[in-house]
Amino acid sequence: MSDVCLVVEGSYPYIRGGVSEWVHRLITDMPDLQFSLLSIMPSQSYTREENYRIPNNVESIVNVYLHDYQFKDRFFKKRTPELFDFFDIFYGDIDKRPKEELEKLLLKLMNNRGGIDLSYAFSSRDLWNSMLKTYNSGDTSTTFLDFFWNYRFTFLPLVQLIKTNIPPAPLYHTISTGYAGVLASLAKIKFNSNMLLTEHGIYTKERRIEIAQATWLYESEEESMKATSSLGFFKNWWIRYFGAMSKLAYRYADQITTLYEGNKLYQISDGADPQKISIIPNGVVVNQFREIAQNRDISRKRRTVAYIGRVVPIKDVKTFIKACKLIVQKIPDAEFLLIGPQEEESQYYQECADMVNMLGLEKNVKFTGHVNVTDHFPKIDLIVLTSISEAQPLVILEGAACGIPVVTTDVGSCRELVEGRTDEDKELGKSGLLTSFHAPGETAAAVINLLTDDVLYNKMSEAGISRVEQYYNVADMVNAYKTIYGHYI
Amino acid sequence: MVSSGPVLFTIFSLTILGVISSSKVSHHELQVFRTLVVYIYGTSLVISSPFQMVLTRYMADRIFIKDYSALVPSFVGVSILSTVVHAVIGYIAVKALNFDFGTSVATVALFANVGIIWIAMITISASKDFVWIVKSFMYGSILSLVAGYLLGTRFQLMGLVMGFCLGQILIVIMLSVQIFTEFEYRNRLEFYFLEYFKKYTALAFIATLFNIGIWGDKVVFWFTRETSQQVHSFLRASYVYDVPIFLSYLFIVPALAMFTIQVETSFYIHYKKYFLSILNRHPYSSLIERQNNIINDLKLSMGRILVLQGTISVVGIFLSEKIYNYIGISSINLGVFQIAILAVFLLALLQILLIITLYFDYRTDALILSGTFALTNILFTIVSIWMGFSYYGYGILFSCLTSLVVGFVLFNYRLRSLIYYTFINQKIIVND
Repeated sequence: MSDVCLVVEGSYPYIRGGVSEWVHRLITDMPDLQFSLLSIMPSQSYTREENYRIPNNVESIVNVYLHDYQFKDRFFKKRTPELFDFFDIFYGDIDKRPKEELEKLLLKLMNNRGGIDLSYAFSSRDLWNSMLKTYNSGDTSTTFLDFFWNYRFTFLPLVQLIKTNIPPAPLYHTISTGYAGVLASLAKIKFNSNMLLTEHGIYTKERRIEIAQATWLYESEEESMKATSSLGFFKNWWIRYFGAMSKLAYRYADQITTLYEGNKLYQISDGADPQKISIIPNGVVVNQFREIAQNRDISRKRRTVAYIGRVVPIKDVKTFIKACKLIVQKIPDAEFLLIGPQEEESQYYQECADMVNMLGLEKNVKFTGHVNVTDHFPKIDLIVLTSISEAQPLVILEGAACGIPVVTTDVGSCRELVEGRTDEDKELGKSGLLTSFHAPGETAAAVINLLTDDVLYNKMSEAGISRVEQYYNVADMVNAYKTIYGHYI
Repeated sequence: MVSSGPVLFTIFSLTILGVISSSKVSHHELQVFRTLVVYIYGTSLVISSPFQMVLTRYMADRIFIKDYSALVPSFVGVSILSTVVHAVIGYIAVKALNFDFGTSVATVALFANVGIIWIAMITISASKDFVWIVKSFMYGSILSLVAGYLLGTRFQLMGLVMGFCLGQILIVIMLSVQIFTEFEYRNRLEFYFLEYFKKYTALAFIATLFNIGIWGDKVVFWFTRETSQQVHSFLRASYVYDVPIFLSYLFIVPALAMFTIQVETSFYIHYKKYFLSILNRHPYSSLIERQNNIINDLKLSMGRILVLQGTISVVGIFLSEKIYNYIGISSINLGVFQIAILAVFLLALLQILLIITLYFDYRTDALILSGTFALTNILFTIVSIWMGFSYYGYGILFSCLTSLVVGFVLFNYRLRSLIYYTFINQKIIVND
């Protein structure tokens, strides 16, 4: 049996990104502990290739596919009506129902001999009746076709979670709420274990942004004509659904950690108990960057600006590209690197690439794809982030450790990272400039300011190096989790 | 059912041909001819039945996506296939029957020709020109009568078959002319519809079973010693059963005609409205309303057909003796005729039920229904023969009744859960 079972969703070890890096770091830096992994992915096609070398102390990996529905339609279906009772509670008021009732249902489902018949969950009278009940308790003028499909699509992933063959462990550490949070809660209920929840970005908040932009969810003409602040029936349906997942995870987690103060406030407003929450910031391996920081040529002409991160809509890469155009008008020889994987949202990447061509920036802008960022740090003069939402971007910390200032949108913990969290921290001075989001003009002005003002640049560079050394050392982060783990295993 | 029209025309012309040529052709030759034609139609219907519904489905799908160019090549392709099968079976049969060369050729030609008529009827059902179809059968039947009479008086059996065959060839030519002119013609063959057999295997079984059901009671009567006579070689006939049964088929014309009109006018409109309301994202209450509209419409239509057909059947039973006297046959089996009129009344309803069931694509139910019909018709007919002369005809009557009840219970259950079945069978297709 492993010591800790990590529950991750849409990331490690298949998808690269901040959370995956963090998980990988946690595992490799605790070689004495044995880990198992529950990796939740949309479907099998995502798990063909591992993007990380799995450390030796990972005992087992169990993949969970939310949207794989291959099954034979059986004539005699094995009934498990508790499934629908569970969904009723789930979609109703999950936090107001007694724990025992929910746990009894879930235990019965998870310990069901022969498992759950997907063809029953997928097409049966019980599903139909439960769906109709939910439909009739809501707005009965809603389009039925879409309701049916939305119901199925929200219900079936939960069935997949309940069906999962969970490896036993004394502690389940989930790295988000959402499906991973639900699965960790199920594991805790099943084995009567402990549960630790770490949220980098706030799941409900990120989903809310995605859903608001989603075009695949039906909105009646009337609904889409309304002011953008009110969402259509189905968008609200999904937001409530994700909200219920978070509530479940917050309720079952014994302890909750997050990266910074702002996140904590969100968690509390989503129903988390403030007593359970503690803040453990991200960290970087300071030693790894010390050399780069020391070898910087202070007197060189600064021209290289980098965007580092996945090319996805939530990072608003397009605003960065627009800013590039404005910068080039002042500094014609400026060079822009877009470093990060492009395959996750290939259509968005294509749009970005087209935009570069349209603005005539082919000479200045270069997409590198996924590369080892550390190799690029010595030649990067400035890092820019234009994200709509961020947690605690590692790239700011890594950049700062190398002495590279940052221009970033004022989202997530970026203000803390740039201006300092505590008073002591603030005394170190600013290590970058903040902008609003969707504001290419502000971003461009800040970049030009830093590239042309050597005094300001050097001051921020120094502040960044000191801040990371004192407050964002990865060893501190790993030690904090070691302590928590020790408490539960 | 595409076969109903042609079969009725055939029974009609066969009866008249028998009456008018009875004085010029030997009674035995006439008997052989009649039996031969009945066997030709029956056998052809059963061996063509795997094609019938599958091809109907294929054509309907092509028409739905407005791919009219597939119709003619499929028609030609299937006709060739069917002709080969008919020719082989026909050849073996005429060898066994030991016919002379002329009669053999005419028999095989008629057999193959009948096979093409079914296919032509399926293809042409996409056309709305009913008048031309009726004209084709009318002119063909008249030619069958006239040529059959003229040649029959001169060449006996060979003449009868040849003459009759000429009329059927005219039907095929007239139907083909319409198919070739109305639908886009390309000079190629198409067998793509054979792919449909994989997907719609059930349809092939449904049609085959139903046709076996339709012929089951007759075959049992032909091959039971007490109820049949040898006509020629393996051709056997049942004098007590054949005439009343075939005659009674003429009574279902009004019901089938009325049903066709009802489907075209009101039922299909409600059916379409229901599916449109789903696609147009209506709320549940609106779907329920339209489901109920379908139910109410079917109730109303069936009520009308019941009244109409019921009246006709009752009148038919009252007039049965007069009809017998008019045609000039002995009234020993009048009782069988009266029961047969009732039986075909139920048979008409059964056919209608099968068509509606398939309209909603409830293939399992249709399979159960036609299976029940095939099985009970053979079984009950054997029992009725065993029980004695006064029970002849009760076999098919109770078989139709049983199948009707089974089919209705299933269909009623499905229809009341129409929305459930419409939605729940939708598969999730995940695009990676």
